[in-house]
Amino acid sequence: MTENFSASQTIGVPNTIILTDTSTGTFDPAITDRKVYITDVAGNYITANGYFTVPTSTDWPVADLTVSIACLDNDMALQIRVDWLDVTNVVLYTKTILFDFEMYGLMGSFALTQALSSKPNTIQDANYWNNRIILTVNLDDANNAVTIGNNQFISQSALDRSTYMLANQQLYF
Amino acid sequence: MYTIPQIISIAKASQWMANQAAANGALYGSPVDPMLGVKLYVIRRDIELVYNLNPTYAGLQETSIYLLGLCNIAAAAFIVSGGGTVTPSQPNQFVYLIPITGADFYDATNYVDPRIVGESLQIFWNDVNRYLNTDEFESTAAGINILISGFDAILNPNYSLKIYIVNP
Repeated sequence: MTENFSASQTIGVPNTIILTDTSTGTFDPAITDRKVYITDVAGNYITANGYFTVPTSTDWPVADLTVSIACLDNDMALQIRVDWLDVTNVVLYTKTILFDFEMYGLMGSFALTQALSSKPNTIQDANYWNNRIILTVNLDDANNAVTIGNNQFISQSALDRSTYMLANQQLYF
Repeated sequence: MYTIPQIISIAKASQWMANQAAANGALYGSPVDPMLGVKLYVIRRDIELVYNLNPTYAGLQETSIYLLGLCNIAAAAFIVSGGGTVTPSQPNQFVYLIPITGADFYDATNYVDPRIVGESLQIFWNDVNRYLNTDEFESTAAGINILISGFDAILNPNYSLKIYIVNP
């Protein structure tokens, strides 16, 4: 078996990440369980129950192709490690992938676009556009830092900037 | 009425056109918004990402119509009405010159070769150093038949001829 998994989000549900087991090959019958370890840029372990400084996992039963974990309160770049375990909790397979989750940012930016379409004169507001571009560049930056640079710190820094702009929209938009 | 994917495509082309227009004259009095390309990108990016996640998401239709309003209508012409790809055809392999000798003949005067059947031919006979006149050979169902009196490829296997296929 070649272990693998993917991560996604659903628009409208920005606090939840969805993991899908995309392993290929013949399923190893020795596998009896999966565990998910999610760590932020500071090394904290994140679960739906909160942040932990000691290794804390989310259970992902083998019978389930996907698992939904409602663990985000803002956009984050996260290292996700999935362990495939046998009955004695020995790790048979493991895979770690860096993801950036920016659904809050996308929804916030789209909401700004919706507001823009109802206030067409904003198209001429240079200050507005300078900040819209900065917001978009930060979101693109976060994604590129992961997909191109595999750099969690840069990605999280960009997401922190976009989060601040959306949390303080009165200053920028 | 354009679909949202069509509007996204139009916006991508318009973004390039806006950037070109700005580069070509925005700073020299041309009435072009020098930031239009970036504005198109910012709006189109949101719409495209949201559409890919949920094509029926609330607000998509209104925002894409707004986006279309910023686009260059010329981009719509070649994105929606035209475009596509043209697959170049691979020309057939053809032979236009077939060198033969007397040994290649089926009998004393007949040369058999399906490649020349039905083709317009010119035949150069090296041994007499000239092209054969049209009354000196004839096309047959299987190839050609040499009509020159005394021509005998069996007795002269070293005959050397070149058959040209005209306008293959």
